[in-house]
Amino acid sequence: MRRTLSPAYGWLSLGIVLPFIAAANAADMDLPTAPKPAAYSWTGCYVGAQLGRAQSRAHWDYTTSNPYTAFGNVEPQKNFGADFSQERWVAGGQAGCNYQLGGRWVVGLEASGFTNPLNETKDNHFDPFFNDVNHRFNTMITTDVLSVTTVTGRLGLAVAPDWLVYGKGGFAAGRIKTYGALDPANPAGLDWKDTQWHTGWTAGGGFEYRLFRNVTIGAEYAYVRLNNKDHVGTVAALDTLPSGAVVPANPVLHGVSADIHSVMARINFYGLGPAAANVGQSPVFTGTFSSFATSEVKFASWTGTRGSNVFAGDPGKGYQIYSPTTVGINYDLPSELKVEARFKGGYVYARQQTSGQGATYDGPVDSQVSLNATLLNWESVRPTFGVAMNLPTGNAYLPYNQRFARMDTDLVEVGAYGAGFNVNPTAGLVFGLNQSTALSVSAGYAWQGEFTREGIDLAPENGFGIFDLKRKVNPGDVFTGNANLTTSIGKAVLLTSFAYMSESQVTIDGLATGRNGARYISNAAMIYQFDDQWSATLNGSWSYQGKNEIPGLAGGLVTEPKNSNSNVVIGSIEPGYQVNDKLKLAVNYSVLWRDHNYYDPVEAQFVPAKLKNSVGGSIAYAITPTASIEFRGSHAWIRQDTGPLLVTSFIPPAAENLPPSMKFQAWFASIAATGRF
Amino acid sequence: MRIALAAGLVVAAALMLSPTAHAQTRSALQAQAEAQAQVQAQAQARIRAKGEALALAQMQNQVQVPLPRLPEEKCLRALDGKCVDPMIAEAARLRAIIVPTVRVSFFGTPAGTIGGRYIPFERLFQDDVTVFGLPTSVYSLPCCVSRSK
Repeated sequence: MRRTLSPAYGWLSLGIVLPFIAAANAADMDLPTAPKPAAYSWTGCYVGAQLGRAQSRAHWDYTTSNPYTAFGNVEPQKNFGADFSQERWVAGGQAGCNYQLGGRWVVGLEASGFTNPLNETKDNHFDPFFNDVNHRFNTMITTDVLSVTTVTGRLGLAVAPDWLVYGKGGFAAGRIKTYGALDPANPAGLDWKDTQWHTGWTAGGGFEYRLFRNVTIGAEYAYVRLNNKDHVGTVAALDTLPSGAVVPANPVLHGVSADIHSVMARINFYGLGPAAANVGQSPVFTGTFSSFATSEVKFASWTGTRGSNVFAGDPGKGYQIYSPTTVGINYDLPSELKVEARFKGGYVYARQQTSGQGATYDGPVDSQVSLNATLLNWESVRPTFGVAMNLPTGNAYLPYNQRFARMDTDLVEVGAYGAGFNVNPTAGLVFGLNQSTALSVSAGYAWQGEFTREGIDLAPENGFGIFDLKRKVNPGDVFTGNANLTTSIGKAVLLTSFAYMSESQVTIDGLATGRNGARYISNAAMIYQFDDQWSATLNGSWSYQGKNEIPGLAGGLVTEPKNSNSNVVIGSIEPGYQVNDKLKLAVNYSVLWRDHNYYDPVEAQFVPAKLKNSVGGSIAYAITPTASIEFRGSHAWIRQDTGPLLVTSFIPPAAENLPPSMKFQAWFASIAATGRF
Repeated sequence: MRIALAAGLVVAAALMLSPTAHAQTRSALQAQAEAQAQVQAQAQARIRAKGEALALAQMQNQVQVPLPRLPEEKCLRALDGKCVDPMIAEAARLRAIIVPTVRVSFFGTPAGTIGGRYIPFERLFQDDVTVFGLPTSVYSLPCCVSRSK
């Protein structure tokens, strides 16, 4: 007796038949576009995402004589302020409600926010120890606008059935962190930091265009003024007055204000309240639109033994909360064209808790956008082409101890928080071999832009070994060619890929530091449907990399004599059980294995062999026909072999394997919500 | 009604997945049956591609009131001229999009992921020390080889 499928929740069953499709193209399925009367209304509530550029300025006013403006508490100030200016990519979200008055006027209320429009470090041009010619110091100061939040009223005019032009204005608040540190670092107790909420106002305007049903896209300009507020940078240093009395040094008391201009692209999903009415068929877009949004919160926590760089003997530990959001829009013109647009951005809080390495990263990660088109005009082949980009909304420069907030990607979800501006065009073809087999070939070229990464300052006069250098890293470009074969055999669906990647040389501060060997990567996945309830998914991936090029003794790059790269194997199995039309349960086991030590000539260190075993489970639940939620959890055991035998002392002579063998355990938990619009 | 619809779906799926269907002698009757099965398979595939909720709603409506005729979609023809299962063609298309862009960023591509959700395919590229170098990595300072990656 086969189970019946509920029409309302049938799409969940689809996930059993093809979990790969569900995972690879989450929520890409189209929804019905029933023809409706051409009545329209902007009344309704919405949530959405935004992405764009922000140009920001911040100003400091030193209000007292302090270690960053003068020498001693009584000396006249030499510095009276500082200015910061930066333009960068930003991402955020918004939620609000509209009410359309009797005519074409629309009023609304909206809350919105975006992250990190300014994060700049500059030299304050004051040396608190200027009399010491042997130890020159700079006072390095930073303004980090962590986030901007606004609550605004909106007044709009529906200039056409699908077009809304509006102005907005209201309250703004921003969380600003300021800090200062002597460069090079020293124990004088003059470093400080302070974080304050600033209030202010905002004004701007924009437009919304109803792309389909209850999904709108638009653009908006906004100006945000964050009013002046005092920050108090308390320092531990002491000062000696002319009378001889020793008193606490004045804090770095400074008023801070900021101005931000932003231009954002926005997408809104209506339907939280009275749904905005569907409009008739667009004269421009005669096809079918569909969209989805997925928001996740992922938590990872780990503990384990650490290497020789741990300053205290207690175990290493840390955790990370990562919240990515993905938004997609599909456009289908039957037998002609399929267009897919994707946006992904996220926020992370990462805390390294190991003694001596305590560090936090609290901010956005890079964002990605892509646009892909597939031509459906021909029956013998389907050409597909597109472009994907990485937008550097996160931070790659984590100076001093903050660099420890980057953690191993086998222990946490995200291992780094920023890179450069990357552009990756692709093109491919899809062929049919027989009724149940398809072949695709494609190629891509990724121009990977330069980014700034902290580096170690080895200059003895600067303290030796301080991680405050700004290194300009150019990771080079990557060409990828690949072929994919998919087929169904009885109750099994088999999906395979093979890829070849060739990379150009890496430069750091303009100097060639290495070139990674060519990679050959293969993947195979099989989904087997035992019956209506039981299914299993198997995955396997293998990566082989050829010899690297390394700096030669005579200059330039030469091919290394022995391949120092490691094979990496990943495997997993996930049996699943469909309890009913709404609920699916699954368990899984996965393994990652690196077969031998890998010497990285660029960073001059070894990546040890490693084995990671992971066991977990998941619960997927369909709340409504267009909304689902999924819980996932797992536990991992990681064992890492010793590093190579290295000389650790010449007198007396000594050597040891560094790093020593390490063991880690990690927990992962996540919740994901998906809505289709 | 729901039982009947589900049964229809199951039959169509069974026909589509049957490994012996192509081995049959092409008698007129069998050819007709095969053509019917192919239509059903295409219908089933379209259901999967477009979403079952829509398809089932349409099938329900077809019994009661005629709906406006949907435009015919061109299928991807295989070497033997038959229509490729849209689900299989779609999977190949997605991989053609995803694989050549996995290096565009360290999060993988916005299009999706392959190779499993716990240790995804993209993990293979996170060994790139230029982008993922851990804080213990020290350029040209071989004293500090303590990264845990």
